[in-house]
Amino acid sequence: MRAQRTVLVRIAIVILAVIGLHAVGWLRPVESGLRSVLNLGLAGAYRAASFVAGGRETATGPSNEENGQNREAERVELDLLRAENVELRALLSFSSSTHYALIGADVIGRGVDPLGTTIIINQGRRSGLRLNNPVVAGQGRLIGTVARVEETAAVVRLINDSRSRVAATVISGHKSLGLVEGGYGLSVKMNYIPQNEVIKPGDTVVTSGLEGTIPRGLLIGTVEVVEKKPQEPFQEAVLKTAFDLHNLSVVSVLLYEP
Amino acid sequence: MRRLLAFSGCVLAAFAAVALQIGAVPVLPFPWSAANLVLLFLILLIMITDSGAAVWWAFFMHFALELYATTPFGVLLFSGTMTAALLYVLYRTLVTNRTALSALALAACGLIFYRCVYIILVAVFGETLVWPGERLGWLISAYFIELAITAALTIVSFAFLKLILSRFSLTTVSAKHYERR
Repeated sequence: MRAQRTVLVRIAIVILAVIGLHAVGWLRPVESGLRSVLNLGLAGAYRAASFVAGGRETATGPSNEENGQNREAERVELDLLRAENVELRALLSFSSSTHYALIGADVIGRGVDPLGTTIIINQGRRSGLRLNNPVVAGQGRLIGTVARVEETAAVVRLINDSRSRVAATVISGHKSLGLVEGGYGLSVKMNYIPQNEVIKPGDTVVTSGLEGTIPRGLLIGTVEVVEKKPQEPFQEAVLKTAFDLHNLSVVSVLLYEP
Repeated sequence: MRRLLAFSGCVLAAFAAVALQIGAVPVLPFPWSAANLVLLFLILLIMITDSGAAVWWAFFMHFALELYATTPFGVLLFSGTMTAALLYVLYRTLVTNRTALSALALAACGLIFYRCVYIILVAVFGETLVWPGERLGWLISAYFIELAITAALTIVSFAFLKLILSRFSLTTVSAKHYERR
């Protein structure tokens, strides 16, 4: 029992030492090397899993039963390529219409934190990414912000993450301002909208640009339901995001400087 | 040569478990997306090799996971490594059988301990801990599903591995077993 306690103490000391070395930056070369190797594996795993998930979604059609397995696999691959092509075209069209500098990135994984909704992209500090840079998909639809930047990779916090906060405005008569917050990957809500302002389902919600790190006018989504309680000073709106946050393969990071 | 091969196999399997945990598992349809492959790998490693080296494997795997986490550095590393240490102690003292039920018990104890330590560390060292409020029930059920899926996968994987290893006369399991005798 005593020996086990000694071993536990030794392990804790090693962990504390590693945390200390990480804090002073001495582990950076090791972390960078390990990340480069892991990125290769992650990209492959992410593609394979998307392929499997895509296969599951398309395997419900009646015509699939008649096709052979190879044909089905080819069809799923073609669907994935088509979807990626549509995303890339939309990003291309957005990049030609915007005056902000954009960095394209592939999604190579998702965060392991069960309390959060994050994705991992294959671009990092070396490409000019900085903390809190906005990340868009499709034709400039805001999907999140950069939450962690490393040399060759970055972690993006999606707008449905419970720790995500984005200043937003509703495109309606009152131009209501509010805060878009995520709810554990399940929902996106716009809070702190004054009670006296009129918003209705279908209204468009865009970034307000008030926080300085995100430009004004990036589409977030549309109002789905308005939740109003007479005793509360503010009303809130449940939003439908402009982009499917569960199906991300290519994104762009806006190198925005106010 | 044999030890080198076993070590290389472990490195590859650990690398695959980390890559799949970050790159593939969260993309899979629910409830498969809730599986914890790293813990599964560690349980199998402890039960098959019967060695405390699993704790160091846990250390290196969680160090790799830390590179892609948004939680403060050390939260995953500490909770993961300490969980492996607890699992090893449990396996040596309490759940000593090499059966599917032992695997189930280890998976349940390990995951409950891991999540408890994780939540405490996030609450203490995290930038902001958003209290789930009305979604608390959802969060608990999400953790329960993680436990159920991981435990089920651990049992299946253990049974499968046991079947494969029993086909060979000089497996790691039997060799260790005889050594102890």
